[in-house]
Amino acid sequence: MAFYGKKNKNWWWAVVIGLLLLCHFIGLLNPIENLAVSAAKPLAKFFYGSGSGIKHSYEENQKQKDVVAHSGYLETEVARLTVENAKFKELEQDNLKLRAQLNFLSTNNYKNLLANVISQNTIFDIKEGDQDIVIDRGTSDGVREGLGVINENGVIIGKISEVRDHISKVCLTTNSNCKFAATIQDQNRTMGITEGDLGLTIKMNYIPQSEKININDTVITSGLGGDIPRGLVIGKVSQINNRSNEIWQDVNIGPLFDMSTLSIVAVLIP
Amino acid sequence: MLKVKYYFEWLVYFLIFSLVAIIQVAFVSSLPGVYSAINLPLIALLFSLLFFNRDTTLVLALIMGFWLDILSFNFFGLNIVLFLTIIFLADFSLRNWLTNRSLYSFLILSVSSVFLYNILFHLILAIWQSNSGEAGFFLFQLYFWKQMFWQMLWSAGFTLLFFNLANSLSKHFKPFFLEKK
Repeated sequence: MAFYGKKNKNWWWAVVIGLLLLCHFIGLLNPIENLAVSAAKPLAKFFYGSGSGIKHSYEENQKQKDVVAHSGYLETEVARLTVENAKFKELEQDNLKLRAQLNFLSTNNYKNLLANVISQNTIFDIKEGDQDIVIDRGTSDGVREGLGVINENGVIIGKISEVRDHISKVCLTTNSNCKFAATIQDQNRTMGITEGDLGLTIKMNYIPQSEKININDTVITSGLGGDIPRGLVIGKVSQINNRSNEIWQDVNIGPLFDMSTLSIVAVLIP
Repeated sequence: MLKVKYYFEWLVYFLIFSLVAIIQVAFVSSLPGVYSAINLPLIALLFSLLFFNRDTTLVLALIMGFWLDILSFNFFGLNIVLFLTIIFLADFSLRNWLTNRSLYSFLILSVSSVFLYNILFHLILAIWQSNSGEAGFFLFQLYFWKQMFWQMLWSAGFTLLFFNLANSLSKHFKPFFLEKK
């Protein structure tokens, strides 16, 4: 058969692949890869912008026009006010508790690194909702794993999960593999871990039944563990699931960002 | 002069296939719903197999795989190895089984290539990520099958479109229906 007639050439291809992988793993390909990624970034940014624009229009067309116009404005306004409100609440808490904690902002002097979204990993996902975005900043810009990423409204959208020299992967708060230490801004300032749910909402599990949580309570990052500062808004409580015969309750949190509108984000560098 | 033309041709191929890879990573992935299931690189490679010989297509597969590997966060070499394997097998099928180069042959080829690509891709990833697999085995994920179904449908659609387009421009292919003589 024809396939076996080219046996020598097949071996040649196996050698080529082997050499290529070897060169990559010992770092010989690094300059070429970095050059290629740097060259691709502007194009990727352009194509991503076009694609997400189409996606946004498509999604907008699913709704009625007048409702869309109004809710779009309201969503932005709610996100802005929620962030503002969360900030005030945090400041109030700080004032009420310890004077020393007023140093929080100065001692945790975070700076932003703006980044363009250049890709989403969707086609090769195994599980629905495990969506990530890829940004055009990497270790060469000071990005490292675990750093928080916010959108233009200051809402935390995810954290850096993998880094390369010039690009990084951000797992979104709605991704089931992405967990955040969080606090609900209720009376008891309930703490817990949030994780994404089907790429649509965020869940916070294992909350004691004794905690009184209300719909629309704001959920913020607690600042515990990792490089993500306290007080960044994750979302708002949209549903409370508690059964009287269970020890724990859990809540659904509605994220305050739209994935299709993410084009420029900021990485928080401590 | 011939050499210049030869290098220029390769430069054009390189740019086209690089562009296809970037479009896949940046544009297609950001499209809504089922539109994001279009697998452009595979479609482009299968069609290049029809216009060029196997070795040329393998080089193009190498270029495409390289771009996808450096722009994605799976381990380096995954796409290169997969694309080369698919091209080897597709070429083998075209030489031994699907020899008449009709639309049906290409439809079977594109759909089976998508199937093979997805199975191999996720199988290798499942083995590679065996310690961190929270999602469960891919074959039991409905989402995996849904995505593959749409990829197959898109590939068949593009095959139908490109085949007829190519048929009107070139005599490489057989007509839509096999003619009785």
